[in-house]
Amino acid sequence: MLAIETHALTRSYDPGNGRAAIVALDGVSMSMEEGEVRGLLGPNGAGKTTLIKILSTVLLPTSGWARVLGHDVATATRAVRPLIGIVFGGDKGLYMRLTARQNLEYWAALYQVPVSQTRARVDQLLARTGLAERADHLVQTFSRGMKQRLHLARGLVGNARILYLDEPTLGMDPMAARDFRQIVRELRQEGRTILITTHDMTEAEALCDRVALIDHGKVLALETPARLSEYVAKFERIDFDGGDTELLQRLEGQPGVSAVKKAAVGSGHRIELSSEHAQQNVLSLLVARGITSIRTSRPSLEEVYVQLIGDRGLTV
Amino acid sequence: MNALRVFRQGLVVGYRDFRDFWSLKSWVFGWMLRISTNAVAWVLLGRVIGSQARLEYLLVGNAIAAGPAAALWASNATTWARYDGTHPLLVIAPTSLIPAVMGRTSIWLFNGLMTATVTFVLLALAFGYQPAGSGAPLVPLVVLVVCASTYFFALFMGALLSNRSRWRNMALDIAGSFLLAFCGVSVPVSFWPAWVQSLVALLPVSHGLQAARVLLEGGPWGEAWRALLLELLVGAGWLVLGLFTMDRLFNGGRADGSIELS
Repeated sequence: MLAIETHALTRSYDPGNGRAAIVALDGVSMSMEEGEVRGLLGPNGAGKTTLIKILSTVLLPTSGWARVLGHDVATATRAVRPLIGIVFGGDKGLYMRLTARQNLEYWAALYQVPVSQTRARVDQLLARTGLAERADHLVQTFSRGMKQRLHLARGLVGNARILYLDEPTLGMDPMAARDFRQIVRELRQEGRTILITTHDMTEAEALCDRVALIDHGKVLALETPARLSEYVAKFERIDFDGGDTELLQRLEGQPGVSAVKKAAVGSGHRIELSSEHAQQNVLSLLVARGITSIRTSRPSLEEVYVQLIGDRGLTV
Repeated sequence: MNALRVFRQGLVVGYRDFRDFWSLKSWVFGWMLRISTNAVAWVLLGRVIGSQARLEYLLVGNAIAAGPAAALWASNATTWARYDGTHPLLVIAPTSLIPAVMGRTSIWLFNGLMTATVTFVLLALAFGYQPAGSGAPLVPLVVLVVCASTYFFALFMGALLSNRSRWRNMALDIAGSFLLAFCGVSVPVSFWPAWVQSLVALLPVSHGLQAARVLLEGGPWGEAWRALLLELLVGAGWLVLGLFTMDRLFNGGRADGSIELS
């Protein structure tokens, strides 16, 4: 059974005053297998959170449908809600004046965890998220990373099979983010399905089986992180030090070379390729001209992102 | 059964909310001082302009009305889940959010009960008031009913304000002022035009206050019970309306997109 399935999922808002409807999600069709970790990448307003809101039953679609483990999110909320957990970044969503344990006990009651199992479940989640020693401290005294781990524990209190993580490492320091990602990897190994929205390319590469690039409410691409990188492999870069004017002119004339630019730092140059077959010829030419300091680099997901989304890409 | 458990958990949140507002010291020397001095001012006004009967009318009215004034704060508390970002999580939890909301907000009902009781005792001591009626021991029960019906009214207000929470303080002030002005606290309901009396009959406080006065003055028990029953009915009506509105509006947020994730 598919964990998540959507068909022509659309959500629009009426801004009022006779203005045209704003389309936040525009005919998204997608499916996720159980146990998959899927990333949703896109700038603010791209539709990522709207999709999560629909899948988590807090928003109704305007048209189209979405199913979670076979249950329609619009009509079968009673069946969907025990199956899902949602975790979002920031201070919101926690009771700051309660302890970590009290927070989890509260949500355990709401997720109908039997009273006899609540204590053990809460202890286990606190231990798993590294909060056992701070279990009885007020959440308002927690660091950003600790709050985020508590968010995750809260999302797991009902033993959700599907987790939505909405920018979960936003604002975390690198070490805390690394620890958090390790827990997400463990959840994946348990077979949970995870849909994660993020602005962080490193995070997507580190965690996701597949990544959907989304903008203007549409999914632009859905691929593995490695495959997405291949999209712009033809735009691979070759950096080298040295070289005279004649060499630069010859390089510019090579097939598959789109540009030769002076490096932003130092005295070297960067060759930008427009064909994955151009690399060998260019490298041969550089070596033949005595250039020995040569570096090739593959594009990161961020560059894929910029390539596909264009100028809006870095306004996230 | 689980609803009761959720209610209890909500009560823990409400207690922490309350403690964030008041410590014991600030409750006694801040809140109670303000409430009781306000009530004393009204009672003194009664002494200046009228008889002992008028003084007692103002004393009973203002002491008991301190409870509903406090319980009405539940309307504000109903909107707090929007501010702390727990509202969407409550919406998508497998159980109804209503026991959680009622658990969190009912602390203000208890505050109302405590406020009215302490105010009543303080005023009675300060003015040497001794009830004539044998039904006086039942007055705490009446106060509980009045506070509860006001709390249910506050739940309805809170549900209405859930998407318009910036109006919550103004709504609280208007509702509180209206109840104090027209529900027989300082001025008998019979003073007002018939249409105001009809409106007041549908609001909390007035019937319960009437029941308390009858019990304290030694009036007919039948009249007291009838008034108390009316207060209960009014409270039940607001509770049903509040729950219905809460359910409709909270779930209505799914359609209009007003439920934000963070």
